[in-house]
Amino acid sequence: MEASVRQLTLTINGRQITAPAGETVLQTALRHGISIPHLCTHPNLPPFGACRMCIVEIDGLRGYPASCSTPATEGMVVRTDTPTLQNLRRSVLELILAEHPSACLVCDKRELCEKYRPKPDKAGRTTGCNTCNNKQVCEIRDLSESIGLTSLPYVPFYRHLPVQRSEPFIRRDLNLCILCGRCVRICKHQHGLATIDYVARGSRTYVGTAFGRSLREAGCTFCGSCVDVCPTGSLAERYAKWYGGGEGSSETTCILCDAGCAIRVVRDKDRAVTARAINEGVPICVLGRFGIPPFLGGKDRLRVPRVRYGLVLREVGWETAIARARERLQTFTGDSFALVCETTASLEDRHVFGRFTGEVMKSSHLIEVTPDACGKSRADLPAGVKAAWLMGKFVEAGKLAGIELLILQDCYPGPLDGLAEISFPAAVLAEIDGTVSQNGDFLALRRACLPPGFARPDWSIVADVARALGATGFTYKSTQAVATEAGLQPGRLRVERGEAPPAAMDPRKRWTHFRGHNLEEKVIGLTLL
Amino acid sequence: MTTLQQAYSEAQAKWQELEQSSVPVFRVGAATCGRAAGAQHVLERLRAEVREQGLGARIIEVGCLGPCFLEPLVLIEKPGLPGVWYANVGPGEMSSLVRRFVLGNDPCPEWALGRTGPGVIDGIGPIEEHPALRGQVRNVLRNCGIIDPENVHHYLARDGYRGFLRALDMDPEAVVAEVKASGIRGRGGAGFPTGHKWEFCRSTGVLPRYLICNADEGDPGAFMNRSLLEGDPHAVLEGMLITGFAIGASHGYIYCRAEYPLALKRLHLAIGQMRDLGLLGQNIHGSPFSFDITIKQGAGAFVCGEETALIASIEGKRGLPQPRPPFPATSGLWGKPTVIHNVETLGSLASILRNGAAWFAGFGTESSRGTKTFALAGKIKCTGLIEVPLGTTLKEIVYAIGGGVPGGRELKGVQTGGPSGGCIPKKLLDLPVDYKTLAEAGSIMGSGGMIVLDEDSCMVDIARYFLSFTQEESCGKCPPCRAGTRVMLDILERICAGQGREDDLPQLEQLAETVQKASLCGLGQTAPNPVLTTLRYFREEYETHIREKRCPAGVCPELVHAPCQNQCPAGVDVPLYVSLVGEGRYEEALASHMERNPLPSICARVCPHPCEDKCRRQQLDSPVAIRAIKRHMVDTARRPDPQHMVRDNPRNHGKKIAVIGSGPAGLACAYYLRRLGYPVTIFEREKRPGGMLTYAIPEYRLPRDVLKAEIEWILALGIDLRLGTEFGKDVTYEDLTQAGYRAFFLGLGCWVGIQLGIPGEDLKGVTQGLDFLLARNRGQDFPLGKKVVVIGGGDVAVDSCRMALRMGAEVTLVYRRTRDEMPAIETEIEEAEAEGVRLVFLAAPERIEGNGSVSRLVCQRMKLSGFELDGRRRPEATGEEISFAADSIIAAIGQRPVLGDVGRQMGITVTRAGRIQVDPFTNATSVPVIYAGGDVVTGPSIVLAAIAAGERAACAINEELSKDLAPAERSLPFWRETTKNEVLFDPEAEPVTAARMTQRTLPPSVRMNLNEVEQPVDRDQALLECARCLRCDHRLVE
Repeated sequence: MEASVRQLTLTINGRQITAPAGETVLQTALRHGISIPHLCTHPNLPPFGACRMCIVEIDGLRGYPASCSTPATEGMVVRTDTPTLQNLRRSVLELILAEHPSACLVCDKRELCEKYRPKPDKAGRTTGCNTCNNKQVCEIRDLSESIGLTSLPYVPFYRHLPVQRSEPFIRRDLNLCILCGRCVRICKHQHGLATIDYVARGSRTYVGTAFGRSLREAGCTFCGSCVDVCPTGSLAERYAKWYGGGEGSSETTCILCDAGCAIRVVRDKDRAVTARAINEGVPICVLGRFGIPPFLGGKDRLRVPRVRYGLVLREVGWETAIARARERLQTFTGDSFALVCETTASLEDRHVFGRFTGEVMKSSHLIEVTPDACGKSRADLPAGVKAAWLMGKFVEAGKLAGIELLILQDCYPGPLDGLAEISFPAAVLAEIDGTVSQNGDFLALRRACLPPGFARPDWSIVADVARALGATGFTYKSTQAVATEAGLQPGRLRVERGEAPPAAMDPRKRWTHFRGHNLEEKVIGLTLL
Repeated sequence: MTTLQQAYSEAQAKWQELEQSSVPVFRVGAATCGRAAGAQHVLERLRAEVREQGLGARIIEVGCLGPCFLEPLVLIEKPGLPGVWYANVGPGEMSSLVRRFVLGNDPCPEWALGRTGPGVIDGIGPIEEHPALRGQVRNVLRNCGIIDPENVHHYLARDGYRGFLRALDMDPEAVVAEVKASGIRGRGGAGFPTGHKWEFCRSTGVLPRYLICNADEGDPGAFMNRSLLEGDPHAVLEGMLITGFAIGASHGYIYCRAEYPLALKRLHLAIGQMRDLGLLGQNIHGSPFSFDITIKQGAGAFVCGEETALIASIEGKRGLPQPRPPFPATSGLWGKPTVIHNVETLGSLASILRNGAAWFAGFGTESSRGTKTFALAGKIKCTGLIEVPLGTTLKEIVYAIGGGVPGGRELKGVQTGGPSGGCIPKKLLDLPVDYKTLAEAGSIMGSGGMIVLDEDSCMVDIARYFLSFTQEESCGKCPPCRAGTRVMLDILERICAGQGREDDLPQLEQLAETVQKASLCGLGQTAPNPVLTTLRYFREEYETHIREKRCPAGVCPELVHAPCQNQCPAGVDVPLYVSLVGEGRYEEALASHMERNPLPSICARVCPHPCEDKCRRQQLDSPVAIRAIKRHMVDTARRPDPQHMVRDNPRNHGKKIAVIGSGPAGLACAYYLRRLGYPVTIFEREKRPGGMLTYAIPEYRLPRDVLKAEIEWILALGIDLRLGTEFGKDVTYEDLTQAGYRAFFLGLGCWVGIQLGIPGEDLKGVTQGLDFLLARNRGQDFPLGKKVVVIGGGDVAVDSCRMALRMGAEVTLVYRRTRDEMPAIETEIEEAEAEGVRLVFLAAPERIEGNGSVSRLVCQRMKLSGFELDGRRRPEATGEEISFAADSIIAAIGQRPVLGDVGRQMGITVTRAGRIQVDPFTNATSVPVIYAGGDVVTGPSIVLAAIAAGERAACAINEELSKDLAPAERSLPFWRETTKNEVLFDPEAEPVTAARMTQRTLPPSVRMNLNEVEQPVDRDQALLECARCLRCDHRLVE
């Protein structure tokens, strides 16, 4: 199909270049390395022509058309960098900054600030510029640099709007908004909804909801796409605001439901800070966008192995915990042992679990539960089981009456803790590598951050116990080693998804549970949806 | 459904019946404008009268005839008589008209506007001759005010839908060609040729196509479209049919703002009528053309008048403009080719199709064909809706049709094109109104709003107002418009509040350029126009706000203490001294007065008191007699000790200043410089000081002892006066520079009369008015003979008349215009007439006849024809001659300065009129340390203007000579500080009801001498007059 697109010839700044029909002047120019400043344009959005930064001169067209919205035509003669255009762009940028608190652009501490910019909550407190929560990237600042703006001729017009902190996940400070309209457009583009739009007129124009309702009342799904495209600090993620812009990131798969969205999880100081869709063309759901860092960063995450001494589970070292497990498990070989996990667990985990249950414990009771439509998993233990190793909150306490040994391996404490003899802290989600199988696909998990405390990947805990029980062959150096042993084909990332998962369009369709834990208890804000 | 043919015959019959009605027919203008003026009440009363009187009558509610200032309008057609239009009809007048005219035989000509139709009624002229209608050509508005807009038969009877039927018989291409040939351009503002737009749309080849009628009229003060929709909705709908047929559209939308309920109601009704007649729907009139119309109500956003925003609004989105290309003609509504027309464009099409392109092109100019409606509003007598051929000059529209500015105010300019347009100054009123000339003048045609501005309109405030409108209405999408207009508005608000800065104007211009060039849509691209045009034509007014913190029009509240003070050239605090006099505190009153005016006794006699023109009391009854109060004050109060007026600064002692000329400008300059401690010397050519005060103003107006005392008091401050010393001759610039003079002030006056330039001027007995007055005031003999003819209409002419009269002559004053146009002080003309001067108007001197000495003056009889730029009627020769026997002829048609070598030698720039050119804010000439002021700069003007110029120059000289001093050591013009007004005033009290006092004068019979004509003021009267002051200076303190 691409081959049949007609090629046009046009002249930009005296250079003859070609462009496929349908391309805009801006696209053509950028593709040929001719830089034209632009701000409201976004690769995932249809042209809008609002910010006026990308204006050019085109022979035969009156005035200064915006290159982002003007289609390239055959024989067009375009100039992008005449002195008039430079002056106009500078003036327009000055006007944009006249509505955007922009002291940081001309601050005499700017150079020093650049160094510490990832932590504006620290620098900002003392310098007073903490109204802005833009972290690593500030498009306004980049644009000012490329235009060479060094002074601000107009006193910024501060709108004096209260910062909106009552929405889940998103903080809106409309005082920083430059009305580029990206958020309005991405919302309409991705959801077909006018959840947010321009409100009021003139200099009182702002982006808001109809009748001043809250975002959730207006039907926001909290996909976070608006936050992603915002070039200023106007829209920010409430959780990430307290961390820096990140020191690194990994691309992984979200396993909070079976949609398998490819996400990029950003870490800072080895903790997950934020997550975003890799494929910006379609939105992801609120869990993938906002749920992972708070879930992983929960204060009551299990960090240390624990072992029961009388009435209490006491924190112990791994050796002690594994020794106790070896000691107790020895008496439950055969079908009196059962291991319960979810099918959402990585294939590596499940491989090791399977080997452990079958080869080491000689049991046929590897129970892999498939979560229901809400992500809840319920398992019943077969009759005769006396010892159970639960990889999550899958069994109700009442059904554990005949159990003599209960080992829990999980990320959060739960109601079964009172019955457990041993509790192992597990690494989950973006804390682990691996492969998951979803709807016939093999999807990759790639570790983005460290688990809290001494938590470890599930398979490695089980492997240690297996070795302790004297089994051979459980000496994996890495997840990859497990995968190799299991003969897994490498997982990939589902980045080419053309359609948004149902939960991204309706937050009520998201899964509510992960590993048996109610996500709403772990991720503040979900209850508000 | 009736067929169209049946409908036509039915309509014809009905119309005929109406035309030849056997019962009286009443047409009442009941469009929104008529209703606002009370037409509903008139209708109610009319119906009641008709019922009570048992009258067989027909009452028709019609649309608007146009002249808003005459609303409510009623047309009464009594069988057998021509119809008579009545203006400003209230319910009372309506009753009287029914009883006196319809039942009786009195046509009440006193309320009649004019008659229409065949026949004559005594005392009532044809309506077409009414000044507000003469000069208009009603093509688009032809049915407005005539037909019942809710009755389709009325429209059909007046050839309604004949244009469409003709189009239907043609090829669509032929219709496009016809419209192209007519030359009609879009009436919405941009003026894009209509036929071209159609071609673009057709050339896309894409179907379906849409037509949109833009009825989102939103300019403040514009109501052309509303009037047409209310008065003749079918005309617009017929235009839509024609356009739809020509471009091949299947559907038309009318985007009309919801604030036009009557228009909407009538459109809905009319569309229903069209359906009934088979003019909408499938295969209209048996042709392949199918078309329907939908009305879409807009919520009143100004930006929705912009095509792309309007389309978005119809599509159900927020009205945000989209960048172009693509243009709506190729991709518009729902992404399909769309043509958008203004109501008036559509309203013009039926006539074009009916009468042909050539007929339409016969109106207007080469580039702008046809007629155009305009809404006249603002400071104009005849407000309302007018229709004139394009190319009519603004002058004709404003003065002839509009009747000029009410209240004797001076016109300042015309704002055309609404908030996107610009202000066209008075000097450009000759402009023929068409798309091109208006654009060249920095404005636009717009949809046709015209707001007339007079001297009481502050141009900065006007620019601020329009910008605040565009700022509020900006859609907020693009930063140049949203933020640029706001930053500009901030600057303008600052200027209006007296916080303007020197760099504000360049910054405004730079911002305006950015907003114009970089904005996304027409709203932003045109928003700076009001600012740019006012900056272009009224820059000095901006500068006055910024540099002098003064609003010359007296509008900006932060800058205007009181309108009287604001109007006084010298800025005398009028309310203060009036109040002080009212409390009997004469000395304080005089002292405060003399802070700004060192010649109070003189001004109390000769000042034409511009302050009284602006007195707010006149809105209640008549202005406070400020000059009479001043007269009482100067007659009563003791002058302050001159030494107390000086705030000595020893650092100024060595800096000698030369003032040339001892007229009011020179005296004032010397006075203020002396008050700062500078040594000042006045060099005066004549033997006595005072300049024109002494040598031109007659003694009966200004007694010599008063003059002498006033000047001596000023000199007593310690000013050196050298009489009989002519600058440039007895003492030169070089002499004075060498003698250590550090600065110069030239107050040279205007000492030469302007020649008549007619044959016989060199005959003996022909003299200049000024020479005559000079000679008399120098005490020279000046034989005049018995018969004296004075030519001119100014103060010198009137003074010459009265002076000649006192020498026993018979005096005739000849003026080429009428009394209304005479520039002389009104009371002086009255006095001259009372004393026996014969005034002859509309006579222009042609030649002077005589043998050696003058015997008679031959004049051309003039008549008033067209208008001058200032609104005065232009005298035009009639060919008829009139002659006056004369022993002497005194010419007084103007004066000019005589600079001789002074200017040239010193290198001072001189204007074409021979006056010295100065900076208006410092009175500095082109040569450093030389300043000038008074008549030599302005031409003959009033005393207070000269005083103000002297004061300005004194301040500038002080600043110049203080440059080398530390800020703390410098003298400041302390008299400019506002004094705290500690006088009694009760803001709660009702104003006193006393009438304005009249000033006593000598009876004309005892005036034939040089005794002062005006007599001292009675104390009680003066004090009562003071109490009439409304105290506009009072500010409520929170």
